Amino acid sequence: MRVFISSTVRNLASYREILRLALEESGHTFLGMEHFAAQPSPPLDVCLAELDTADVYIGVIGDNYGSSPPGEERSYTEFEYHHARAHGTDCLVFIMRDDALIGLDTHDHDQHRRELLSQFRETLMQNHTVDRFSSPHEVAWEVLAALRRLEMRRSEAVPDGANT
Amino acid sequence: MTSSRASTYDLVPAVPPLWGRFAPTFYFPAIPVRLGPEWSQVVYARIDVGLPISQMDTSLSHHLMTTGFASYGATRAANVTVLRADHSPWLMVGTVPFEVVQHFGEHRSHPVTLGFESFLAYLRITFNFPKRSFTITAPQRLILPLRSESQVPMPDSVLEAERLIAAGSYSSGVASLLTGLMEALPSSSFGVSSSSASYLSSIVASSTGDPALGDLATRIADLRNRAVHGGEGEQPSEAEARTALKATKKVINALRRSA
Repeated sequence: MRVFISSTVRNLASYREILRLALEESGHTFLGMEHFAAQPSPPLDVCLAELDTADVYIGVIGDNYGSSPPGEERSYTEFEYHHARAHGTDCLVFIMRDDALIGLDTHDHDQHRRELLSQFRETLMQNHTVDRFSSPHEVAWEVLAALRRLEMRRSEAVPDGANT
Repeated sequence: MTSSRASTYDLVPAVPPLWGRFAPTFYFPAIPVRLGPEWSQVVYARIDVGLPISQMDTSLSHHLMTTGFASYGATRAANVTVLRADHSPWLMVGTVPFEVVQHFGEHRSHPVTLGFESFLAYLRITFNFPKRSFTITAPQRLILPLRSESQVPMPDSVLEAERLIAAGSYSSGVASLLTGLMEALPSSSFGVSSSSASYLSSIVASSTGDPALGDLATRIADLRNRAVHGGEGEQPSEAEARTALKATKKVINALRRSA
């Protein structure tokens, strides 16, 4: 499957790297902004265009709301989530536990952005059954297991003989 | 002071695709590394104990070619620094040859796979499958010095530069110094991608309130540009590299104090 990983990057770089390895070794294609080459379009357009090619959206939500496109309040991560929902892409959401093994100084110091993050988490928890994680390897396991369940559900939904 | 000769990592899980539904879930070893002094991004490299020569993906190779890596026909050579699980520098393995490979039919591939030649040849790997972890043990000569708790911690790139300069790689060391200096800049300056001397100077001077430190940063940046872009006769001397190292530490310490 083509798997779009949506998360902040600066504070979750090692999480994304472990996820990339685990996904690729499992035969999936990792889609993420790390691989975007220089293009004339704005970063958000490039992100959303790549997301449109994905079979599934994976939201990995940490303790940082993340950066926003110029002139926008909503973060790239939140833009990506709403875009995936609007286009009917399956969304799997993973939220970091408070005791997560992450550097001490990665959370938002800006109170307003902390509130935006809190609201975003609330939205995600209302819309989805989320998994929790504390480490890169734990979220890798959870993502692989969730993808397997999704694969099996999809394969069971295909009527007999549909592929012949 | 020296650090431990062993470092332990978790194994990375993998679940085969649905068409292999009866294949068992498996684990594989991967470690965080940095390639060369100029490219500061941490990459998780897969370890393949059956691979004679390490491999890097074509896309990564193209990127590295723009940042001063050696090229020998179809192979590349890069200094590999192995990091601990917490991403602190642990081993300086030295120059490792890489075969450049293109993984046809895949959208992406592992950018780096580490094999035997000049890498695993130096190391012992012990797997602990019940704990889903593995431990690498290395010879003492490859271990990077541990930071003293009483010192202000320097960015990893500066520690790497110190070792490179000590080993006689003055140009690479100076290039790494500027990377370390950029990492130490206040977070408010993140997002500005310029690494020009004037940009650095203004940020350092305004952050520390000391224009002399801004000038020092300018000289470090100028020396780095000479190291990276200069001709054969323009490479930094040992004295210049050592002076730049001291200057970089001075600027970083001042930035830390003013933070």
